[in-house]
Amino acid sequence: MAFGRFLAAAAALVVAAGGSFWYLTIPERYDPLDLPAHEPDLANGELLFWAGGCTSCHAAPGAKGEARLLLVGGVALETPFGRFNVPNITPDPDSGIGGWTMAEFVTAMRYGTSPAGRHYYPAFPYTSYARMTVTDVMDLKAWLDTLPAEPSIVPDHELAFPYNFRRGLGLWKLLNLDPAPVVDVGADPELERGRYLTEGPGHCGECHTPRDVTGGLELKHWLAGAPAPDGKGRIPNITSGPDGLADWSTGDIAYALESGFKPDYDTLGSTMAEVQANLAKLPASDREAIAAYLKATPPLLEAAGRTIRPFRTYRGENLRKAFPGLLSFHEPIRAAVIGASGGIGRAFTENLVADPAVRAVLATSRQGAVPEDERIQALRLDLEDEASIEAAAASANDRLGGLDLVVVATGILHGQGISPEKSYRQLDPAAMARVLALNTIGPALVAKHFLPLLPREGRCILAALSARVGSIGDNALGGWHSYRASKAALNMLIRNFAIEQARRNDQSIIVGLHPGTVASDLSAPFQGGVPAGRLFTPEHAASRLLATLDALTPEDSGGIFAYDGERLPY
Amino acid sequence: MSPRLIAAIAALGITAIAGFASADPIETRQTIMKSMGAAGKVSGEMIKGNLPFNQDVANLALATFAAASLSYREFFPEGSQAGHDTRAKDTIWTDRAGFIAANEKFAEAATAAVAAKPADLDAFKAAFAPIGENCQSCHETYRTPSS
Repeated sequence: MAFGRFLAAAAALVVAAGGSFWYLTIPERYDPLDLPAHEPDLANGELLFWAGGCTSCHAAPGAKGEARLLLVGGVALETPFGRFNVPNITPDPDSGIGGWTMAEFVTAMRYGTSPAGRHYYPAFPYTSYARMTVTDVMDLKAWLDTLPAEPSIVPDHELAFPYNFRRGLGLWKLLNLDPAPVVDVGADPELERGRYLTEGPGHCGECHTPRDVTGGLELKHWLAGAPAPDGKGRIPNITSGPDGLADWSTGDIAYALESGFKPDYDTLGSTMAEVQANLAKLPASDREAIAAYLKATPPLLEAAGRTIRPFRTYRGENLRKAFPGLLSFHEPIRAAVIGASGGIGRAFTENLVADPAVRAVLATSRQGAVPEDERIQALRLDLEDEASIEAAAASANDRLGGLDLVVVATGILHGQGISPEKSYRQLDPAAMARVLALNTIGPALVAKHFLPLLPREGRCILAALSARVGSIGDNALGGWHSYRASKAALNMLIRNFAIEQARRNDQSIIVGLHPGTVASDLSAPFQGGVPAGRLFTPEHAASRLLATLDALTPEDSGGIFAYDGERLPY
Repeated sequence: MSPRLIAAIAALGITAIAGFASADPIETRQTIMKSMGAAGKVSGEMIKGNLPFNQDVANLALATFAAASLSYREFFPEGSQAGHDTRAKDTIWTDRAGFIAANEKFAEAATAAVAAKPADLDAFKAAFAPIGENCQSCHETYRTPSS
């Protein structure tokens, strides 16, 4: 009996859930009576036609000249969700939209709903067109009606499950269809016009903004660049930030949209060439308004846009394969290398600069001199001078607003009056203090000033070069007292900091790294006993250590890891 | 004459000469393309009004385009498909006839612009426009996008 009632209740719940799904996903529509009385303005309709670049997708593939006004469709858009075949929008009553009422057209453009009452896929960028005014949409329809009619046959979209289930788009629209403007530009009429053209009919954000796994635009990365929709290359950042158009004047942007020439007089390429050809047909004041708007956008960082790329791990055998770059971060990485002028530090810096997932690298050294590159920012940092560490951290915060990856790549074993002791009889307090100052206290102070720069949520890593010889459990040979002691102390601090930092961000990772024996100044006098094939170049060591870091999870925090991913005993 | 203008002209001359100084076809064609970039910069800055119009400079820029248009096709030999970060598409070699035709169309536009000897900014704009169109249409077909 009780079970029967349970069944009834469960059935009611299922019906209710189904009912609310059904209700929430009803396609929205305009009633003809909702439309304002409006005498269509054909000139404005044509302007919007070029601003929207309708012809870029709706003309036949490869159409040139007059054929670009024949909107027979047929272009195939390849996306991670499947292939979208662009429809005919000529005035042809059967294949095209000639039979549509004005209300049906406005419904399609602003609500993404077809005359038959079905949801359109957002490959048709109605999330942008929803920001157009109703009268502008009406003007556009009036202009489209003046274009030549032509029948054509376009195949259906070819989509994988579950994307072939259109009703689900109702939920997608609840999340993503919002006609509100994205950027607050105040009340300046030129900026408002630029915003209208860019966010609305121009639908620039559809390519220049990255998408989440559902295909919705990530507005927090608005215009900050994204992988190309077809997966080949990237669409650039066009915000006012340093990854974007910071170096372009408003005049440069307007001229590029008019002529196709960038400020360096290279040409705008790829899909932008066609967009530019369309925008060249706008009045100069509209291109200037778009330029002014872009210069007024928040200066966002390049978004890595890696959400669709699979995670990979590099433990064991996989580690031997070439390291393609850091894949475990979801945001563009702001990295710092402390000690970037040493052998491994330089290699870390070069590796990170070459990694497309990395947005910027702060490279510190005692002299402040590091390799030149537009993505490297050189800073002076002396491990024996806390003020310089604090100043470098403050500078990192000012320049990048925080850090996601900090690598401390310093260490001393010999030199400057120091040589590793073979016996306790050789202990020299001054030399010992110096080794501890550089190998233990210095990295600890870096942690003191740089850990607060790591984010409070999401993945972040601080890694310091330790060494296997710093392991007490692994110590069978003895000797090298100061060096071993300094690294053992560092390992303890790493473990301590990991515990402390996990309270601030449970995704944070703080680890020590054993690079193996690397052909660098540090190991130069001691390379004789290294087996063939085990003396690494700094480049090899750095890429293996980065691959090791990439495979770590927060559970690994506090540990000491070797170049091959092996966790070492303390 | 302003120092910027003199520097721009000097850049034109230097890149044009350097273009023929390298033995490597990829480097050579890249330098020729850069000489057109320099000519484009001078032209564009005059068109944008950032530099005063100067007839001699304008004609020198057009002559640079013409000279480059008649030479760069020689520097895409078989075997130069890769190296020096070249962005040349394979279509240059698989569709040689199309590439040559595009080059000839460009050379025609550039030599016609030189022959027009534009004497004022409006005439220069008119002469330059067909050159600019060729840059983009050819890059679209025969060069991979930068990112």
